[in-house]
Amino acid sequence: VSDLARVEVEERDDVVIARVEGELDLSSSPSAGEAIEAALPSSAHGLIVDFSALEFLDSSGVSMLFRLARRVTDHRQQLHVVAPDGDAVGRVLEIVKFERAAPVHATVDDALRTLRAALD
Amino acid sequence: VNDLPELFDLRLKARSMAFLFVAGAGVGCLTLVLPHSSDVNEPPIWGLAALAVALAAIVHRQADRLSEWHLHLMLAIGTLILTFANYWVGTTVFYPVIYTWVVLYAFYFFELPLALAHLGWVGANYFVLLLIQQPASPVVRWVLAIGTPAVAGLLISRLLANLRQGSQRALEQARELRESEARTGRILETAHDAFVILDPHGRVHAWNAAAEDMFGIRAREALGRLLADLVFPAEGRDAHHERRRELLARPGPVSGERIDVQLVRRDGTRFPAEAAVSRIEEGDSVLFAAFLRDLSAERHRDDERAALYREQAARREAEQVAEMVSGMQLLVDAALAHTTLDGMLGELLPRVRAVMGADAAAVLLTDEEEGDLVVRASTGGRPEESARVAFGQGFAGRVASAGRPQLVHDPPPNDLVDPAFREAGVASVVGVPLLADGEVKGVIKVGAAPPRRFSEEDLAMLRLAADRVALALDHARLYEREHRIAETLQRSLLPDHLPQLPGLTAAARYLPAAAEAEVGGDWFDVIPMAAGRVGLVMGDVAGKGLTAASMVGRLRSALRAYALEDHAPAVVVDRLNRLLWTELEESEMATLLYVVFDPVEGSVRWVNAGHLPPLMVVGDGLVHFLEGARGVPLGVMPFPTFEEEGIELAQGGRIVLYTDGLVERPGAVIDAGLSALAEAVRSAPEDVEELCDHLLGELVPAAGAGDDVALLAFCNEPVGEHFDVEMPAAPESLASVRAMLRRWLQQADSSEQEIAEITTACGEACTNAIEHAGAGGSGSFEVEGRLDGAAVDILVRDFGSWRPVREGDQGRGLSLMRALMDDVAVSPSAEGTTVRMRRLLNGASAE
Repeated sequence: VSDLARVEVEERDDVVIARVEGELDLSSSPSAGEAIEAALPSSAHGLIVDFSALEFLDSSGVSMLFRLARRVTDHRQQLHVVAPDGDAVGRVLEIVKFERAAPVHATVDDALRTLRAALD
Repeated sequence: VNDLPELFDLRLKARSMAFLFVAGAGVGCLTLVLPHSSDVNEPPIWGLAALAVALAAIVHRQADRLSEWHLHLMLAIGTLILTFANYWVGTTVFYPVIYTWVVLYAFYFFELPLALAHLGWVGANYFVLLLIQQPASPVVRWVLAIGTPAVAGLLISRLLANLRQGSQRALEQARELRESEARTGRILETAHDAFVILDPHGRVHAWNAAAEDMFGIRAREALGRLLADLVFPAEGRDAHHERRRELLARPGPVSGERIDVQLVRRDGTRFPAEAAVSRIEEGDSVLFAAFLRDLSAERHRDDERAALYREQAARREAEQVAEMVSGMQLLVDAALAHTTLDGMLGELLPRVRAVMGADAAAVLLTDEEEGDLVVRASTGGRPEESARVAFGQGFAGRVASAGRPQLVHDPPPNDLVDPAFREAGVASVVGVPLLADGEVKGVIKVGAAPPRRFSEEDLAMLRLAADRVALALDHARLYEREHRIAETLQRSLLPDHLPQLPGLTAAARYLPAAAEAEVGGDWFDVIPMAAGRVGLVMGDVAGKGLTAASMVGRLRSALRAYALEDHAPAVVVDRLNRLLWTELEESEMATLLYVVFDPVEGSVRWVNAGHLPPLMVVGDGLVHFLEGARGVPLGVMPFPTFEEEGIELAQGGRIVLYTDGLVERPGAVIDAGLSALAEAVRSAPEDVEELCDHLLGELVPAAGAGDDVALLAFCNEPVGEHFDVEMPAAPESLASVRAMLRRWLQQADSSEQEIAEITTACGEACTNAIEHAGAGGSGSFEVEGRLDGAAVDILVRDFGSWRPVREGDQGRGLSLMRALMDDVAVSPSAEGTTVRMRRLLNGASAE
C-alpha cells in the first residue's frame, strides 16, 4: 500500500481485522488509513486494528487511528486496537491516551472476545 | 590467231622457200617452152629446174626439222642456181631481174643484216655473170650488176618493213580489243550489279548474270525486248520512256546519271533500285548502259543503322540519367549518413561540387532572427562570421528573395559573398533555394571557373540536389532537436544531487558521449528505503536517443515503486524483467545492477542482470569485483532466475558501480578495461567525490568517451561522535533519519527502548519540520546529534514558517516529544524553527 507500511485485512463474520506491519509515519499513515477504511464495509459491526507486528508509530499514525475511531463511531461500529504492552508502539498509544477513543488490547483474541461480548 | 612471231615461224619460211624454188623452176621451164632466142642452152636449164623442184620438195618435207641456217644455205644455193640459169640463158638484159625474188624473200623473212648478206651474195653472182658474159659498156655492167638488185631490194625491203609493222600493230590492237572485251564481258557478267545495255528505243542489247538473278529473267528472254515491259511496273513505264528520251536529247555527255526507280521482278515483287545510266555514242549509233542496284538490302541496312543510332542515343541518354542518378544517390547518401547538420554539410558540399563539376559550393542558411543569410558551410573551408548577406542582395540573396533557382554568367565581383567563390575565379554560378514547408530555409549555390559554364540542365540537377538537402536539413534539425530532448530527458531522469543518507556518502558522474553520438541509455539512481536501507541502481538500456531515454524513465519509476515496497532485490529485478518482457516492446533489453545497502547492518545485497560487476574496495586498497549473483539481462527471457548475494561492507568500505562506457575502449578487450579500473580504484582517494574524479581522469580519454559513461560510488560512512544530516523536506526522509539515528545511537551504547523513544521523538520533530517546509520553506531540514557524556542532544532545524501549536495532530507530536525526552525546547523564528531535545541515557548496560 505504501513504502513503509503494509495492511492485511481479514474478515471474521461481521468483524474486520486489519493487521498493519512496518512503520507508520507521515509517509505511510495516510495511505494505511485509507486502506483500512476501504476494507471496512458499513455492514460490519466491529474493526480490530492489529499493531502487533508494527515496528514504529508516531503522531501521524496516531492521528490516523483517531480519524478511524471517529468514522467507526459515526457508523455505530466499534473500534478495538491491539498493541503489545511495553513496546514502543504501545508506549506511544499510552502517551497520547488513545484508550479514551478506543480500547487497546494486548492480543487479537482479547480484542475479539471483548468485541463479541459487547455485541451480544 | 597466233602470235606475230609465229607468223614467221620456220615452217612458214620453209614452205615459202619451197614455193619460191618451184616458182623459179616454173619460170625456167616456161622460158624453154615459149619461143626464145637460140642462145639458150636448153638441156642444162631443164636440169636446173629439176634440181630446184627437188630442193623444194626436200625443204617442204623437212620443214619441221629445218633451222634458220639451213634456210640461209638453201637460199644461197637458190641464188647460185639462178646464176647458172642466167649463164645458160645467155646475155639477156632483163633476165637477172629474177634475182629480185631472192632478195625479196631475204628481206621479208630474215633480219636485216642477214638479208643484206644475201643481197651481197646475189651481187657477187651477178658480177661474176657479167664478167663472163662481158656486156658492151663496163659502166652499164657495173650499174646493172650492183644497182638493180640493190635499189630494188632496198625499196622492197622498206615497203615490206612498213607492211610488217602495220600488220603487227593491227594484230596487237585486235588482240587487246579482244582481251578488253573479254575482260569487260567477264566483269559485267560477274558484276554484283545488274548491267543492261539499251538501244535508243529502249530495247535490251545486253543482260548480265546479275540482271538474271535480280529479275528472274534469262538473258535470252530479255534480249531484244523493251526494258520497260520487262522490269518496270505499269505505272512507271511512261516515266521511263520520258527519261530515256530526255537523256537521248540532252546535249553533252551523259555519264553515271543516278536515278531512283521502283522495279518489279518476274514474280511480281517490287523493290527500290538505283540506276546509273551512261550514254555511249559510237559514230551515229547511240546506246545506253545502265547499272542497276537493288536498294532493298541497303534500305534495310539503313533502317538497321538508324535503329542502332537510336539505340546508342537511348543508351547515352540512359547513361547520362544513370550518372545523374548515381550522383544524386551520392548526395542523398551523404545527407543521410550524417546526423548533425554541420557534419552532413561538410560531407555533402564536396560531393555536390564533384557531381556537378564545379569549383566551389556553399550552403547559406536563413537566420530567422536577423532575417538574412549566413554562409553555414563552404568548400573554401570554415566560413567567416562576416559572410552574411541580406535577402535580395548579392547572388544568394536574390535566389532567396525570389525563391527560385537562378543561373548567372560573369557576375560582378561583389555579387559573391563567399570568399571561396571569389578565390576560385567563379564566372558561372547557379543557386537554388532550400525550401521546406514553403519557406526559404537557405540557399545552395555552386560556381565554376572558365571554361565551365553551367547550363539549364545543371540548374535542374542542383534543384534536385537542393530538394534532398532541404530534406536532410529538416532531418538534421529534427535530429538535433530530438537529441536535445533526449539529453534533457535523460538528465532529468538522473538525480541532480544525491540524497544525503545516514551512514552513506555517495557520488555520481554522468558523461555524455563525445559530440555527434546519440544520447545513450545509461542511468543510475539512489533510492532511500525503509529502515534506512538505500537502493543503488546502475543500468544500461540497449539503444540510443529518445527511445532509450523514455525507456530509462519507465524502468526508473517501476524500479522505484518496487524498491519502496521493500521487496527483496531479486524480487524487484524479477518484476522489472516481467514488466520489460510483457509490457514493453519485445526488442527492448537492458542490463541492470541493483544493490541494496543496509547501513545499520553494514552490508550490501545485490542482483546483477547482465551488467558489469560492481567493484568493492575496503581497507587500504584491497580491491575486488563482486562477481556473484550474475544473471541474464532484462528482457531476454520470460522467466529467468535472478539470484541475490550479500557481503559485509565494513565501515569505510566503498563500492563502485559503472557502465561499460568507462571500461570499453575500441580495439581493447574488456578485461583490460576492468584491470585498468581496478588499478585506478586502488590508487584513488578515499572520498567518493574525489574517487569519481580520479576514475574519470584516469580512464576517460581527453577527447571524450565514445559511449556514455555513468559512474556511482558510495561509502559505508564510519559513525562518529557527531550526527549531521540534511534531508529533503519530504515524508519519505523520515524513515532514513530514523534508521541513521538508530545506527548512531547503537554506537552510543543506548538501550533498545532508549533508541526507540529518542527516535520517535526525533521523528516528531522532523515531521513538524517537514510540515513547516511544506508551508513555504526551503525544502530541507537538518538533524544534528551530539553525545554529551551520558546525555544525547538532538537538534532539528527547519527553514520554514512556524505554525502555532494547536490541539490535534501537531499538538500530539509535541506532547510525544515532551513525554519521551527529558527536555524539549522549540524556538520559532522568521527563518525557521529549531527544536532542541535532550535525553539522559542509562545505557544498554542499565537494562
